[in-house]
Amino acid sequence: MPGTNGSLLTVRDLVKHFEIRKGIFGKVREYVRAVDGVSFEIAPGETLGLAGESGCGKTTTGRLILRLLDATSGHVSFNGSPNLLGLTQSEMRPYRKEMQIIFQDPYSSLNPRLTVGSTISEPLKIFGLAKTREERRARCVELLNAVGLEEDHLSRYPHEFSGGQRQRIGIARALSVEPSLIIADEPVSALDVSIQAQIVNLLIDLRNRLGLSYLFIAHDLSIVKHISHRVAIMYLGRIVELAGKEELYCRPLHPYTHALLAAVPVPDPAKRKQKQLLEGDVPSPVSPPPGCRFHPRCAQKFDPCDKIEPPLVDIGGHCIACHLYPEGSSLPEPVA
Amino acid sequence: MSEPLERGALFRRIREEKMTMFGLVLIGVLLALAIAAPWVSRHPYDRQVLEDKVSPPSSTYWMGTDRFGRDVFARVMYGARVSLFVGFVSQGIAVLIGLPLGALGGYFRGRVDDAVVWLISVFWSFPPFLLIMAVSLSLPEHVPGIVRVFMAVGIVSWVSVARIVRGQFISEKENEYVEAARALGYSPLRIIFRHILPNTFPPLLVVVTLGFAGAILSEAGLSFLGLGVQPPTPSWGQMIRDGYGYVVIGTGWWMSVFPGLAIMLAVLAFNFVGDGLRDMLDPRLRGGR
Repeated sequence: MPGTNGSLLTVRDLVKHFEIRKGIFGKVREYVRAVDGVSFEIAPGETLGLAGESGCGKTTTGRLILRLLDATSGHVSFNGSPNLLGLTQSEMRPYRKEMQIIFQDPYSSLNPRLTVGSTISEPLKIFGLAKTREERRARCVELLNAVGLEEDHLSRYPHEFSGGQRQRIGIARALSVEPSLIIADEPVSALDVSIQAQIVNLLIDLRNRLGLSYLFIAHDLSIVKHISHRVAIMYLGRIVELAGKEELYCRPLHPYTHALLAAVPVPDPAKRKQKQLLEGDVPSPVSPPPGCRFHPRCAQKFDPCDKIEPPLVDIGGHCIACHLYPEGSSLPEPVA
Repeated sequence: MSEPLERGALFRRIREEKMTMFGLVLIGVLLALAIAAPWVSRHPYDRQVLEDKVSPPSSTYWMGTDRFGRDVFARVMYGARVSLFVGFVSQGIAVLIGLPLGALGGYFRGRVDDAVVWLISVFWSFPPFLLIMAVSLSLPEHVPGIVRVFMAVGIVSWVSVARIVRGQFISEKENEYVEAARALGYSPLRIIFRHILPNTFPPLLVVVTLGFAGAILSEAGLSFLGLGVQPPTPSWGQMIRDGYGYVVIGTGWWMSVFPGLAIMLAVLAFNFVGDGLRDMLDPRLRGGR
């Protein structure tokens, strides 16, 4: 794994098991292993894309880092801080100013009864970032302009805006406390395709201007490729492959990553290849398969795959959890 | 999640709904009569004119007189005061108890919620009117009748308020704006009262309006049984009780019929408004208790 030095966010062995209570006495019988040992870093100014099918635990990972959900175990450190997972909610407050979140659903993520102005200015008040009413108003206008909205939007209610505009308001709210890391939880997947590019480009533009880092969670690999510096692929609560963007897209190693990339639609029919589609469904995270979690759907499975779980190993800067590439093996030639 | 209706739009809808409009007008008239009672009636409600006792409706006594020769019309109007007052205060008490309990249970879930749900179930498992009677009778001797009534009704009807507020909190909490507020480090109290609570007002308004009708009925029932407002303060239920003997033997229908009509109209008015509001604000609640 890359060194921890100089990273903005360090996540180590993050685990979240949701309890399923069964029976009349509510005895805990089973756990959903939503996130099962996830580790990664994000450097200042870097964007890490976190991709995977729905239900693989990528959204939960984002919620755990922000303590919106309580992790079962693990270590999360921001800029050399102690483990955030061990802090009380009040000790967590200074970090709330540093780490913010953008949500998937632009409809439920804004309070329908608050004007845009009060939604954006409330954090300024709470964190004491603008003392007077005039200062707050000026800052709100500045924030609205930064996300491509205008001053006269301040007094309007969310239902007066389109989905894309609402997402911009959500971004302005996240930016209001001047965070250095933003967890973008599928920020464009609920939007119209024509709007998606606008929002992604806005995020890129903000990153370049404000020096933000993103954890960009998405299931659309082409959007992840567009915005990320490095990309992590998750499957059933674990990261199976993590590499630089170019590296991952040109030389995918994990059979799962291969399958995901093959599923990305290609606009030009002449370039379409025979697709190797995944067979079967994602197994239940209540009882993940033994050994490699991907082995029941893997075309290249061999002897150890259903017995031993492959660890995430670094081979030449490319992290991979697959028995085809054990520790110390060399990288194959790029495929594309 | 339903989009909030703008204020202007809500009033436009109310005007279109005839029944709701009718209910609102009726409530307005009732309120006006209750306030203006001393000036509208030509006779004080407690003046006994024994030579005119048990006289049928006439130009002097519009609704006749009772067995003490008191003007029934004046007493019906003063009765409106009692009914509206009981409705108002009892629903105030219900909101005061039910809203925080429902909000805390729905927001925090877990053990707090278990306790709230348990309490709701306990109250819900008694026939409401028997419980109101029991609470009313268990209050200390020196408590005046009217206080007994609104205390008892309030203590029993907080359950409906708590149920609806709790349900609203559970569903509102699913919205990402609550997570956004938590991610911004807002305190739970701030999230509960400033962010979620305003979103629970529409259904709460419906429950309180319907509760108002229930409170008027409960007051009438208690007073009819002699457990409510004590004489000489007039109340509709008590007037029906005083007069029903005459109805039975057929010597005077007006002493019970007019307060009875008043109860019917008042309850109808609040039910119309409550139902209308429910349909306008959230059609999903239709058919609920």
